[in-house]
Amino acid sequence: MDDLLKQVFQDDLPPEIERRMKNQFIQFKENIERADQESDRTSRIIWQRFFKPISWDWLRWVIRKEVMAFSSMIMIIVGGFLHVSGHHNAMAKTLSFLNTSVSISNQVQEAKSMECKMQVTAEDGLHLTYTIRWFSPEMTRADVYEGEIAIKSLWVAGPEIVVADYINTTYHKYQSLEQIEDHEFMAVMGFLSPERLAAAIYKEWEPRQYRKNDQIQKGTYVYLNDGGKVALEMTVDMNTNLPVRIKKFAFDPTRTADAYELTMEAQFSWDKLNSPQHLIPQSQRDNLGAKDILKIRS
Amino acid sequence: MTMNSGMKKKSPFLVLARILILAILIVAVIHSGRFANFMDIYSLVFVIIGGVALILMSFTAREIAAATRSAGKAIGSHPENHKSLTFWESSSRSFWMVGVLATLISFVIALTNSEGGVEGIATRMASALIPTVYGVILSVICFVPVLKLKEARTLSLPKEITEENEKTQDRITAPLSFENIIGYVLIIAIIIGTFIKAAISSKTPIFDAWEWMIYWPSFLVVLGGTIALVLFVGNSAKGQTFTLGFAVTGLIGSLMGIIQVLLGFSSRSIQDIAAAVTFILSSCFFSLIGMMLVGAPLEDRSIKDLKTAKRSTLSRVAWYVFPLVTLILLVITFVIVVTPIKKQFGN
Repeated sequence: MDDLLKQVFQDDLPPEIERRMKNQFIQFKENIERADQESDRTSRIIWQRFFKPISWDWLRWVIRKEVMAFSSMIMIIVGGFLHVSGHHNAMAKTLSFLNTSVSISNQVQEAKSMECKMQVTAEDGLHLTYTIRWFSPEMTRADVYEGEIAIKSLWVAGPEIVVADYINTTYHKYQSLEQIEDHEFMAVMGFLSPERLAAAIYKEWEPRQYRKNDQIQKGTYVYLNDGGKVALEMTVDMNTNLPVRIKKFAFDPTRTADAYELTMEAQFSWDKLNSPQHLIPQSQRDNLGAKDILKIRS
Repeated sequence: MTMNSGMKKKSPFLVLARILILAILIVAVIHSGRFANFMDIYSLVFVIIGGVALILMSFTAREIAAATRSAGKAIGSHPENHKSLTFWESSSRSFWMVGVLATLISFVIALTNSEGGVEGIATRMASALIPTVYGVILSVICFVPVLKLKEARTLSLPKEITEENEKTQDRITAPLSFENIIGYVLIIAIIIGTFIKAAISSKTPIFDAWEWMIYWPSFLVVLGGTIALVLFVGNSAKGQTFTLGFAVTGLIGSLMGIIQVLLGFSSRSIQDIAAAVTFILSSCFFSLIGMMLVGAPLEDRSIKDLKTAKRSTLSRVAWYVFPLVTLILLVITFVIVVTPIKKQFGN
């Protein structure tokens, strides 16, 4: 069988046939390679036509070494000049704002004592006046006035929290500030200790914009809170990084223009030496005996 | 390595089993919740798409397919193995650089969104480092084939090939392929898309991130400095000069900014410090973009077309060290922002 096959398929093709067969193989191979390269070649032709020298003659002048060298020098000089001349940039302003907010929060937290006078417009239109004093980071007293008369007082002395109601002559002790139910103190909760005010500035108030007045060394910082429903404007003494005034504006959806309405204004005096006798309200000092004070303190 | 051992195929079941085990591990890690802080899908997508775009800018689909098939095995001819090595090294570099670029962009976008107050902004600034972690992981994965190919020791090109190609380099300029154009479009689209996404998703932006992106002083200094350096050094076709030019001008810009920061600290002027930090970050951004869009692709194409024998050491230093410098500067910026400037007050 093997011999038969060898005889039938002898490797003795005529030279002409063999040459043509080889040519056929080569052509076949070339066709396959050509098909593979066809896509590359098409894009190459398009690009070569697009970038042919005549189309870009004008570019030759631009990319001349002299022109490029001159342009680069101009770019460096203009760039440097713009930077040195304090080119307006919103990011630089934001970085400055953030760092100042961190500094204010830190300064408030480290404050030893403070006295704050606050005016609040309640939802029912009632105007209340507050005096808040920090004697130390853990010792605070807040008085609520209706007109000139103190109606309530709040004492915080470490873990001890007492609310005195002068109208109903009642005293209540609380374990934490969150337990206080007197609605008069709700508006000033964030101001009852350095820690609370510092935390509000750092964690809750969202920075918006600021402007500085270098002549009087004051800066005005605007924050948003409660998802934009409340706007806070804080005036800061740039020498101490401590707030001297905070205004609170509530968003009024019923009004079309000037939709924010002033609801609170607080004026701060920092590191005033507060006497411990201020723990008792001035108007009530004569009415309360030592026994009552001891009751409150205990 | 012989042809047979090189061509030895792995069982598809073995490959499938490995992928399955890896997938199970990843799912387990995600479900454990311990790494929740390290999960940021958009950053991951940015790094992957950005890295792929950079690869496309330098290689054609066929070259990518060939290099992926070999996956670190030196099986072909010298030029093929050389191309494969170039591909994997470029991929590793691309993911690293895109990771740092994503971090830089995330950092700036974190500053635009005031949600959660200063604490919220600081948290988002810290989280901006996550894309770098993704970039490093992908970079290391791509670097494994490089090590394998280098072990094979079949990569050094015959001297006559590189010499001949270097002689003809000025005459032949390979046009950009379709894939290269796609790469450029993709990277520009994902960068611009990220800024657009940030602008849309932020309810109450403090400032527009575009203002930082188009910060003229840094742009002019970096571009002008690079052009000057390229003209001075010459031989820009290989891309090494551009890589070096962008890295050096970015570094000079950063150093100028650092000096201004120090002067700002001495005068306790946060405005000066903030302006300097903006200049530093913007210089780093333009330098990274320049290295990625101009320097790296030119050098890759020069190497894979055998016009350059090997990568320049200076380029390698620029690609790996400059992003690291950028990262360090970002961390310094974060520290500057969250560190209060103390002032004396009271009695």
